[in-house]
Amino acid sequence: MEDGLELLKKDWKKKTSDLPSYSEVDLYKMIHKRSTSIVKWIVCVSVLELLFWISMSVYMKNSDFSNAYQALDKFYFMTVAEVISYGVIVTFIYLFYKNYRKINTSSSVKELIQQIITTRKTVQNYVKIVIVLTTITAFVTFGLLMQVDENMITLLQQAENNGDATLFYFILFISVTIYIGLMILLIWGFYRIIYGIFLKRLYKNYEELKNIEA
Amino acid sequence: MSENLEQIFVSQLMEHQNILHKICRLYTNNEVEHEDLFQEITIQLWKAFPNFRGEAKFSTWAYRVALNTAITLFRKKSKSVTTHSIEDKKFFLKSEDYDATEEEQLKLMYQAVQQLNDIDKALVFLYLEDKDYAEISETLGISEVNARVKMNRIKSKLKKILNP
Repeated sequence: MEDGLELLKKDWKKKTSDLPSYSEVDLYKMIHKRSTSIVKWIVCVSVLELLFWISMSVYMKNSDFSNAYQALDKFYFMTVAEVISYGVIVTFIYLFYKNYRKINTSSSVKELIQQIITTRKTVQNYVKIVIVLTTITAFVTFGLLMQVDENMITLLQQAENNGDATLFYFILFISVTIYIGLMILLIWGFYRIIYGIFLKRLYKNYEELKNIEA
Repeated sequence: MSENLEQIFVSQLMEHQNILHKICRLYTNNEVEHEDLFQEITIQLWKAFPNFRGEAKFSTWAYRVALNTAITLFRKKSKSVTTHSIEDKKFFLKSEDYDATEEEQLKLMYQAVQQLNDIDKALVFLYLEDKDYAEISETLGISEVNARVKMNRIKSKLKKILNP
């Protein structure tokens, strides 16, 4: 019995007559059409993501809530957080653009996949940092709120009078944690969808290439 | 200048479009997908063409860009419908058994290759195109030794299909 692949090789070379053939006019038309490659989609999604998170942080900074407490922010925490978040935005836009420019279809299959993964990871790292910064800011704002908000102070005093101060703090802490947890869950869900749509096949092939080298 | 570049590109592509069609055949399951992939490969080649310095042959460079597009950049619109499932193939083997003619063996081989994963398909494709292991390893980004080992594994896997 002949080796299967050798048999196929002989036939492969002969088999060109049944292949479709496009005319020059067809090819001219094709080069002017728009690409639908996953890189294009990943870039679109990433830019939207960056815009979303940037506008979120700008919105948070300019909200009445933020302005009211900024005056009471004795340690300039808000100012420092703002400077850091803008610095982070600029750094990540630069890194994203730099990595995106590195994507080159003339690279090897493995390199190309790595380039795309790196570009995608830049955005994911940005989102992770935003989540950490937001969480810290949320807790600090919450601490400030406890000191200045009249309703809060009244509630706290009532709890203290009843001897429930610890329980009060505990419930508040749990509420904030649940709130932040839900936010992270939502973001995580969003990433699962993105992963499913664009990156599953990419990672599968990357694993396959790594297994060959293992 | 740009029109001139277009002309050069299209004439090169005319000459080598068979390569692209073969890759499309390997990575798609129907004509619509075939056309879509061909279209995307053409766009990617055209986009990368200004950076193609002629250090390699046009065909060698086209293999890379085309495989990269098929494996990584192309997103199928629909869930792929394979024409023959593995079960069909087993049934076919049992009924025909050892008397399979060359044509039937070929049919089986094509079906088997179609079922391979994206990376294995690329290896088989380059092998069928008579590329040496140096080029195969460079195109995929793996070492030459590993490319050889992997290819041998695929060969014996395919052999088993004909000789269960």
